[in-house]
Amino acid sequence: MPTKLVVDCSTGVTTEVELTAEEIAQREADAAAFAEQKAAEEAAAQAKAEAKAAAEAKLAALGLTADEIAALSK
Amino acid sequence: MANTYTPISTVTVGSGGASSIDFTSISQSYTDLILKISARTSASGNVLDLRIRVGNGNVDTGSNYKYLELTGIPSASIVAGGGGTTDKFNTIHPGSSVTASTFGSVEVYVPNYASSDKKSMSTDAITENNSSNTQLRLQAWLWDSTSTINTISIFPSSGTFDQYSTATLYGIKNS
Repeated sequence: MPTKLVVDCSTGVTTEVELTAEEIAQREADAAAFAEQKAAEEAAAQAKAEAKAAAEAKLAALGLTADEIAALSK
Repeated sequence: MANTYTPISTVTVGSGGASSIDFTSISQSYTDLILKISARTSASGNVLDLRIRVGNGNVDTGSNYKYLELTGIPSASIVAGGGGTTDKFNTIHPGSSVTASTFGSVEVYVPNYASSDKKSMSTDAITENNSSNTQLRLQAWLWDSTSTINTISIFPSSGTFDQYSTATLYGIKNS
């Protein structure tokens, strides 16, 4: 059973407490939401990288050198 | 200028790990609070969210946490900004994919936590790693509540805090 550490600052006593079923469910929901958010961020980063590569390829096809293309993004 | 810096409580996670660290019954006798965290998490990943909720009695789970942030990713020469409103504060700390026995650092400054004003805070956090994939995050937070703060909960986005993770809460007085 997962536990949490609860510090009572008025006494300085730290207690290890088992999570309730509700807390476990909330943590699992939080973890799932975080995984979903990370996946969305990675997909967005991948799409951005692919768009950048496609744009650079089109610029190269127009005759720009690699240095000229790189200068555009600085 | 604050002339005191009093450790209120320190927690070190034991061998079984911990799903969260909760500071409760925080004295209202200080002017400001400082929370210092050294942590890593069992879940896979280099950079994971470290979440913080505050409250009075119970932590606030409503969408009352506002933030502005700058994130730096040195290996990619990226600085990204962001902001919004959520149901918790999110800073960063390392997961299990970083170098073994390496912990991230977080500091949260909470001025006027016992006042009846809304609570602004500032944070800085880094994920340590002995290779790449490190991050730095600077944030301005606002807990959109006039309640005083006497409870703070710290928990990872997934997994549990590893053994030897620590959290220390300090009180600061202005006189």
